[in-house]
Amino acid sequence: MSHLHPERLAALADGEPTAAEAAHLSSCSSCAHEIAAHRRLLMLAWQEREALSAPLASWESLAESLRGEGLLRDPASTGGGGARGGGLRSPWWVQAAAAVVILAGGMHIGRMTMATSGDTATSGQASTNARLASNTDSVVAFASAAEAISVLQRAERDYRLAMMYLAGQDTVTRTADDPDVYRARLAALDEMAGVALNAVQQSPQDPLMNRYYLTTLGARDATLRQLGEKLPENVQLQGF
Amino acid sequence: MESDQLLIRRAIDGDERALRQLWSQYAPRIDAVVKRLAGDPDLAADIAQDVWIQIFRALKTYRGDAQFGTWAHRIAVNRTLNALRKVRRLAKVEMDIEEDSVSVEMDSDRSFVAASIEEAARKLPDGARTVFLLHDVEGYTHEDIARELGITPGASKSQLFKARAKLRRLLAHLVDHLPAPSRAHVAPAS
Repeated sequence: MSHLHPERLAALADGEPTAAEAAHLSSCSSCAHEIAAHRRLLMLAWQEREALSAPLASWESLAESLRGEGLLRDPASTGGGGARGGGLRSPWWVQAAAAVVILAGGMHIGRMTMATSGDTATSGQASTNARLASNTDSVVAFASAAEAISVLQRAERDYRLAMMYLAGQDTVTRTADDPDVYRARLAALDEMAGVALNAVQQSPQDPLMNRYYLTTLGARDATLRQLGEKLPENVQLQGF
Repeated sequence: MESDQLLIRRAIDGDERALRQLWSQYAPRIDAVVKRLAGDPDLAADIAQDVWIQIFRALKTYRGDAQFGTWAHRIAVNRTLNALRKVRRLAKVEMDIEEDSVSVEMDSDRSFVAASIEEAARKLPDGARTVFLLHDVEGYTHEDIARELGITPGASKSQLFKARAKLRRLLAHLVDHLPAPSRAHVAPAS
């Protein structure tokens, strides 16, 4: 038998020889050497499969194309490109961050509000202080969502009362007749609304964030009306 | 690390961080496939962008039956082959026009220095090169290749053996000095 054809030798790198071919290969070192060479080539090819490449395009150019295709949400509508949506929950830190900002804003509002309503605060102070003290650093296990919501509502009420109390202790007060009080409150509310809106966009189905957002908008509207009432008669509120 | 499933859900919603993370995680392998099949780096860059758009466009159809990387790899191969078909059709038209004036020069320029499989593979005819890359590198079966390229499995085998025979000559300086592996180490798909 003459030597095997080069393409047949290539096929035998990972194929089965016929009986005649096997007999030839057992006695022909040249053909056997060729098959061994082909197997080395296959090995090199398999190693090539694991090769990695640096990305061939930049993310920026790809992102631009994806935006054009509507596959990537505009950063303006997702709060800087870090958005989640579709009912997925925000990470805990997003909610916590929003809550902290709201808390800070709430303190500011409470201090402003208390400048005119300090009496209300002191009336419920004793019981509030007791409840707050009893809850400090405690680990609470809730039996149901309803119980958790109830506790949350109580905590919100306690928080508001506490803020009013602290505002009542504030010696650097301005009178509620001063339009600047409302302007400052509006600025704080706008900031809070922005943060809350961002949180709502990231977690559209999160009831807590929705409540914060709507509450903030309600407070903003009320403050805006109050500001309008406090302005001199010859000054008209154009917007804020 | 976030699971692929969660990442994909966020990516389907258009979350840039999720899309970018998927791209960052899989681009090294996907883009390597594109680069190998395209051969030309500039062409590969153009195709890669298109491949990724196609992958993200098809995300909604990903059912999780295969690993995401395998699924994306399939799209990358398919999209790259489609793009190459278009490019080569154009190239063939241009070649037909210029063939008479450059044929002597082309015939005389047969020399090559192949330092790697990638370089050597570039010297193969397009069909043989594609079949070799899909079968011996990417692990496709002849049936898969036949479907992708619109040829018969027999034609795929024929192209593969031609490619191997030529590569064996081109890469003689490499394969003649390596230790011989056993057949078990090199047997890929059918």
